[in-house]
Amino acid sequence: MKNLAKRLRAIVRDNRRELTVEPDLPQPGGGLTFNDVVSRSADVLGGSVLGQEGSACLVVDRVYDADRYHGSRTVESYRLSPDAPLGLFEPKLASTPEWASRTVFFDIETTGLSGGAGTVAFLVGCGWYEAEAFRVRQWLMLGPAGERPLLDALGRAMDDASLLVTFNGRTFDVPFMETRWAFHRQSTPTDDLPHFDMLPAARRLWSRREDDTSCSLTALERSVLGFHRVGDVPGFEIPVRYFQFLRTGEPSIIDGVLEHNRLDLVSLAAVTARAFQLASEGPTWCREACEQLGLGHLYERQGDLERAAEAFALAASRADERDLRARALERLALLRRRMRRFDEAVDAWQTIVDRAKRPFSAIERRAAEALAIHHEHRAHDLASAQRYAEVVRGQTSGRRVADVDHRLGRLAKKLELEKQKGDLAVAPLLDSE
Amino acid sequence: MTVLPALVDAKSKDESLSLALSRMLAEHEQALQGDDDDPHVTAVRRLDPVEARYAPFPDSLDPRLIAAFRKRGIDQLYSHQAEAIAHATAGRNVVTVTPTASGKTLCYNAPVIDAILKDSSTRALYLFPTKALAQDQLAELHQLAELVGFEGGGEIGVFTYDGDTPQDARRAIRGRAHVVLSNPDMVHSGILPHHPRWAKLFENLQYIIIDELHAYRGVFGSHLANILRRLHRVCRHYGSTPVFICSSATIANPKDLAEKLTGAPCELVEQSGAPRGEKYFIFVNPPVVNAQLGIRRSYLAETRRVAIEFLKRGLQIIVFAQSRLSTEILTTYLKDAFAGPPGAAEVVRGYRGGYLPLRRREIERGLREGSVRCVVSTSALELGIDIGALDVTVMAGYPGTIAATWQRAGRAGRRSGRSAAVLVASSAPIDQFVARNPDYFFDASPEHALVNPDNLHILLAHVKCAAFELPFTTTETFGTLNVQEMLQILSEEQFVQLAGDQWQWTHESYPADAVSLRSVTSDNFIIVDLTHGERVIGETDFTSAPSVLHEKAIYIIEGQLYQVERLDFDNRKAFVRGVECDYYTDAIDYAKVTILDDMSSEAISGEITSELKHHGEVHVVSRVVGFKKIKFYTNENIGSGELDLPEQQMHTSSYWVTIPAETMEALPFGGADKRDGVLGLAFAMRNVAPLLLMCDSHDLGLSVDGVGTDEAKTLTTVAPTIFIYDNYPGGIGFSEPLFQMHADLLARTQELIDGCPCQSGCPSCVGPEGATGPLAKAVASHLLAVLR
Repeated sequence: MKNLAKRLRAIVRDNRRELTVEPDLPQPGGGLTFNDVVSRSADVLGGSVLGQEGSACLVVDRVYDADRYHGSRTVESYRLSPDAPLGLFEPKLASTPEWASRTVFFDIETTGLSGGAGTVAFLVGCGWYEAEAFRVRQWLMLGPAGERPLLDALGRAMDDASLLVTFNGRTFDVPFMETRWAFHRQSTPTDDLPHFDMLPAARRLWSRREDDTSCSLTALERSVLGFHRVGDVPGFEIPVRYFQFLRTGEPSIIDGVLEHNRLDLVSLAAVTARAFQLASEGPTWCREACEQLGLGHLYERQGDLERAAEAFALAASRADERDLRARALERLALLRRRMRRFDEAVDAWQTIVDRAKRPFSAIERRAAEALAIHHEHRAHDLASAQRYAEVVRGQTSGRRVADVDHRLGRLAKKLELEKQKGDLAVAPLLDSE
Repeated sequence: MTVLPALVDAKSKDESLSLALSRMLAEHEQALQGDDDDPHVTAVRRLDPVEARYAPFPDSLDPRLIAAFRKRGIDQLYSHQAEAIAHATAGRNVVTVTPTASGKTLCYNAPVIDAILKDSSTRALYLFPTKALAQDQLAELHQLAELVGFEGGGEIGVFTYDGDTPQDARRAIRGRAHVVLSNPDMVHSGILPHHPRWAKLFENLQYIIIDELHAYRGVFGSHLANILRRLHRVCRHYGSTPVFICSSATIANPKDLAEKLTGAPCELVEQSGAPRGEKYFIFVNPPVVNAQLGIRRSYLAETRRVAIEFLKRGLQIIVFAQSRLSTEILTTYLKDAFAGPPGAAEVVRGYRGGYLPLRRREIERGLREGSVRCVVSTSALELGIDIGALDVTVMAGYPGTIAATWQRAGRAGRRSGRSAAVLVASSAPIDQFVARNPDYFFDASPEHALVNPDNLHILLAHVKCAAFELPFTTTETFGTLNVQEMLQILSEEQFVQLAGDQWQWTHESYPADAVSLRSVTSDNFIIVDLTHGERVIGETDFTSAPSVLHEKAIYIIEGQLYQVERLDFDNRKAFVRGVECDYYTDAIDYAKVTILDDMSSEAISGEITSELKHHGEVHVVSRVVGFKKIKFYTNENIGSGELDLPEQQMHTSSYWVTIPAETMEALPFGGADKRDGVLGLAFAMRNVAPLLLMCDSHDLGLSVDGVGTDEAKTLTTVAPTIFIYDNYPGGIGFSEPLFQMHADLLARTQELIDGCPCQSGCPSCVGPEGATGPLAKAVASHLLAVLR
């Protein structure tokens, strides 16, 4: 076949999709051997070659001294106490023995999100507390041959760990690494390792609205830790930077990614510590209503209903947003109903309805409906029930209208019946007059 | 309008069939005695019943498996089954060629279940060309696994894994399945790219089953060959070397195809030991209604007549049509003929690709249960989907290949009892050739199934996928071409990067997503009915969309007519609305070919050559330029329209003939007649070529350069060129063989033209006179004489 290369090039270029991101980065330098790249990378990134000479994996260690500040507090202040309430956040881990002996924070950077055998975790970072400092250890692959030593080293780190802490690791980091171990036909060291995913806990404590999804680690480190990154590499740029680094052999391109990963680990440790502190100190210690609301949920799940009620009540009084307050009051009302303290439940619902503005939110409508139910079935105050049902009717549209109308119809019948009974009850009196 | 009689019971079927055939048999007798040179029934062959040949169960088979077979009433094997099992269990790849209903599934189920019984970690992967076939096999395997379980065989997990498998079930299947039933598409995009999750399967993969091997020809086969190259790499990585067990319908080159697809040597088992009932094979040629124009009665009308003959006798039939359009037309005709009372279940159904899966399953069930009496189908039902044993196959038009004809005929017929297959010839040249030369069909070898795994478009796409799955080393090979050169080019475009002695995938994309195995692009169009709100009623592939979904096109689905109101090309949607009309539409397309690289040896050596024949690389630009409106039943052309649709382009290979200027000059005809002659010659050559290549007619495209436009009707060059090209981007390997058969092609073309009984051209030789002009036949014949 004539001009194979020419035809191949034509086909490849024809099919090429637009690159999504093309950051302005140094262009390929020539003449570097692979070993040159390895040793230069070790120099610039401040690491060393893992294992024997010529291995395609670097290990980079950084130590964050205890008195160094990360945000408004020192690194030392984020050290987890062995009696921190882990089980409150993750009931399954409640009886994990000695979990604090070596808590390892874990975060990976990958060559894509699509999954599949061709995406790799080219950078794996672990962080843990030592006597006087927080240590971050990272392994960086310089090519496919670097993955095996990386996985071996990571496996040893996992074997030493007593608890793994991640941010969204339940769905991403850990399953991702499991496929890499499977790829290399290795057993999975994370299998029996207790794992605490901080993301769900963070959502409970710091998500301001029910639909709030901006609970990213970088958002949390600003709001919870008061830490602001400068010159951080945005997440979407990370794979492209790595590819560029492989192509050019220029380690400065990837340096920022390592720094990004390190900051993620320090912030993860710090955010975790703050969450545990809040939980230990209790709702009075919280700065914000959303934290109190989140704690209330956790206490309730744990079965500590009194403490949960206290947290919800505090959240309701502290909240200055209508939505957050309504959420706290609704939780409070439901909890008190569960505790069979119906009058207090009614108080909470009543407060929601009293402070509601038209049009009602879903919570406010539910509150009015709860009051209608309460008055119809429990208080047997049909007139009040009808009044609340009519409020609900005025704030309802669509498919639910039929349900409300059904309730109103039933109430009207009952009221009619009551009136007839009342008439009968009154009649003899009239007669006797 | 007739009311359809009830389905006759099994005992009376032979008799009903004889009655239905009697008229055709009588006509044939008469034709043999008389000297009608254009008989209506051109051939009747009675295929004798065949006795079974048996063999005992091999001693090596697990007794629990043998016991399970005995419970199903299988006390011994057919000879071909025993042979195939012996090869497989000895670790030799094997391909078994078997007719329909000869127990081919046992050839692979036995070794697979046997291996699982002997070692429960054993895994097997079954590949079927369609999801529906996998579903069919699932039921059978479940039953066998259950019987084996009763014999103390433990639990054998059998699961389908395809695009319909729910996400939450996938994890469980990966862990628990001993046998995974899938298709090449799923292996390509769902299994291989995620091989770490399938580590258990790949570590223990002992058998790979490829059913319906003959379906993997052309583009699809070329893709499969590359998928299996990738599969081999992954298996090597996990330390397994699976054995292939393939089954194929009758084709000329089953062993060669199996070896090309699997990339490994294969044993061939081709003597079937299965019994077969008596079968009649009949060729019907619709009579000429206009001798001067060579126009025959519409083959669709003839098919309708033949089909009704069988339906009236209470038989269950399948009608195969050549295209989606003719499927719909025939469905309409037959529904009209047997419209039951309003609201009654439909006894006549259409079936083709593009119907949504639920509708298809419903029709298949109806056929098995007997509530559907007649199905009109495209090749979609040619493969082994279980529709039960029907009584009669009627083929509207020659299916294009001998292999496909036998395959379709095989959809009717049981192991005992009588069945029939009737082929109704259309006026296409290839049909007429077959109808007039029945021996060609009955005596010739069936076709070769060609694949070209090294088609660069296809190969390169799979090299990307392979690089994603496992890094290539700098010494690794992949197929026959130089993969290191490809990786170098892929690295220039930043798909991979050399790191140490391995090529690492350095791209964020998921390369399998960019490849569609069934065509060269993965795009399709959906059809949205606006009659009552918006409703998706079907889909069609990208390449055929412009010709079937252009604005004002009549789109037909199960006899329902819709008119296309708007084609949203960018969003791949066609909006249609139900209409009542008495015509359908037929698109007019136009292709322009540019030569990129002449690879004929003379041209390569740089000599100036007077050779007519060439082959090489070409660029083809095709476009749908307009459409005709054609009336149902009469086929009158009742109008036309122009269209402005985007071009489609491809780089492919072609064979071409350039007629020298002096030859054209010397022709004793006028300019317009010369042009007609060249077009007529091209038309005939293009129709003979598939016979010589033993390929499907759709595999080839035709373009004639230098003949001007329809209006101008003059030659625009002194030396016109006839291109017959591979109708797939990248080419599929027909051009060079055609170049080698050049002399034979011209000789056969001359036979066709000179042997045709028409006076001055007809659709069966140089094209209909109305389209090619009065002297086309004469000029073409003259040209051929000179060129040979």
